[in-house]
Amino acid sequence: MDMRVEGTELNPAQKWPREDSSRVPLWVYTDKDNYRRELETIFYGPFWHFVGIDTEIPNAGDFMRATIGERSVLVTRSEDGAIQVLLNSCAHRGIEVCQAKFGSQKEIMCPYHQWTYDLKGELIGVPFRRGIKGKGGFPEDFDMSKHGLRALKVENINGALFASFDQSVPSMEDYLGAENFFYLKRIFNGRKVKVLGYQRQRIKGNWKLYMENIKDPYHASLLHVFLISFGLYTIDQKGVTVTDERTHAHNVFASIRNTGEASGTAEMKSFRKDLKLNDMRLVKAEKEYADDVTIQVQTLFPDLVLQHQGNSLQLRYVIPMGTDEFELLWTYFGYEDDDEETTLRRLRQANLTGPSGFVSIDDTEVLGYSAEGIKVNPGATAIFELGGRESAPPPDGNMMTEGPIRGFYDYYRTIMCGDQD
Amino acid sequence: MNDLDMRANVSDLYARYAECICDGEIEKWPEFFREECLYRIVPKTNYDRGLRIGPMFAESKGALIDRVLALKQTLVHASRSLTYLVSGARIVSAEGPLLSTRSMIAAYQTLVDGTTQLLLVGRTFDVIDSSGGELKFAQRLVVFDSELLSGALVYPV
Repeated sequence: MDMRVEGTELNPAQKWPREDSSRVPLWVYTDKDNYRRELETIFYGPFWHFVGIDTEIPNAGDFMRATIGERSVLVTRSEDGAIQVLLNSCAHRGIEVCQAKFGSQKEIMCPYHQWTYDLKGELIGVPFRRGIKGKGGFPEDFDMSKHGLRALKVENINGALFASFDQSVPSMEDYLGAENFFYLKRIFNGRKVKVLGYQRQRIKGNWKLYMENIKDPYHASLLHVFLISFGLYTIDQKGVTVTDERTHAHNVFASIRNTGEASGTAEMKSFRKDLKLNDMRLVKAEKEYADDVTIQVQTLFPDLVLQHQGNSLQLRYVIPMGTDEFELLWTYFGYEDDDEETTLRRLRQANLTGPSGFVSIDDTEVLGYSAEGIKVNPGATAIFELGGRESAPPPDGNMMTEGPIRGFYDYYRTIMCGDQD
Repeated sequence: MNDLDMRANVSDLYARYAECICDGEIEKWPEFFREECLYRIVPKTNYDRGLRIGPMFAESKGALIDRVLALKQTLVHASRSLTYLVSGARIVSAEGPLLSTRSMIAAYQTLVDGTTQLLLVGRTFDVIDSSGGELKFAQRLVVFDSELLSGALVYPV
């Protein structure tokens, strides 16, 4: 038997069992070589990644650190008011030039040999370029303009900053498709955004499992007893599922909260009809947007979730750390013209999410259990057949489907494999 | 009550509070607070910048009872042991019956089949109401050093 073609149980061949993505081989979560290719192809390739909110760096000279894949980048505001995203790696010998998370300075100076860059990443200072007293120094033809910090492509969507290592990436509007772009701008609508705070977690499990979790309405009404017991979500609530036609990998679930009895509860083993809250302010949201949508959950390929739930607004950004762990960066925000009452509602409703979230704890925990089960069984296969075997969204817009996960993998395979084999 | 007795009572309150959570008697946790209270856990990186988001935010004893309810009835979470080491609990100042106090805390967590891991370290900045028969927290603010948490922060601190 040719091991390279067939593989073994613990070292399986990198094959996909079916043409459709109703079967996902578990090696995609465990294989180190595949992970390296994900970094090269997706994280450092022609895809957009969230790097921060522009009001966090309001003034010229302000900067903040962000992460794309495993690389640190600097997001800077230059004198002319523009925002740049620069690879945090000195052109000299690769050292991370900036260790601070936030700051303000006129230049970026590497601590090792003091090579100095301006806020656009241009190299403006090299000590001893002409040597000392006519001796030493750099060659005559040393061209500083060729040794700046690597600049990424940047787009600012009404305060939400995105960057890409690949300058050929299409515009965000073309990248997301009209409908998903519309929903992104429903939240980033021109009102100045104000960050309320960040939360960060290290979660065990492959990074893709988090994106799948948010694309999985199947679990929402089964795992999250808190959600369904207090009427915050039901599988049959009125809403739309919008999937990007080009990729099938960007989705929005936008729905209106049910005010009546939850249906389908007979099939939910964990449903608790008797639960009542003492402090009901947690679940009382005020209408904020012109439409009636109370929940918008959006996944943007490859690594971003935007959620609007009641009065809680958060971005969740996935940072891969090897095959078996990822960091989840939560950015909670509101708008600068929010009054204190509105801000308090946002702070209060944040108890549903994050590392101690009444809903999110469930996800953090089951992802940990997923990690344990998957890493030792890379030869096995996951089954995604709820709602069918293809990735086109159901024509009736029902949410009882694993189609969004199949869509994610259809797209993933075309990017990673070039074709569907 | 004289100064020394009050200090002893405050130390005792901090010890009993940690014991309550670590001994697994979480349903008694809200009783350490008065009805009108404020309970928050915030990472230092937000706190230092005046940002109010953190893992937990409760504006009443009822909200604390709700968190206990969620813990016992709805939250899916693996079994764990907790040990909190509290030190330096002291009264910083007093304004009538309200005592401003602070302490340092290290929380260790052991999951089933796991080795003991450090969950967080930090400081607490609290207000204790001594007007009733028993000391109760009017406010408790836990500021933990890391922004980063390993997994979920399931139990209160």
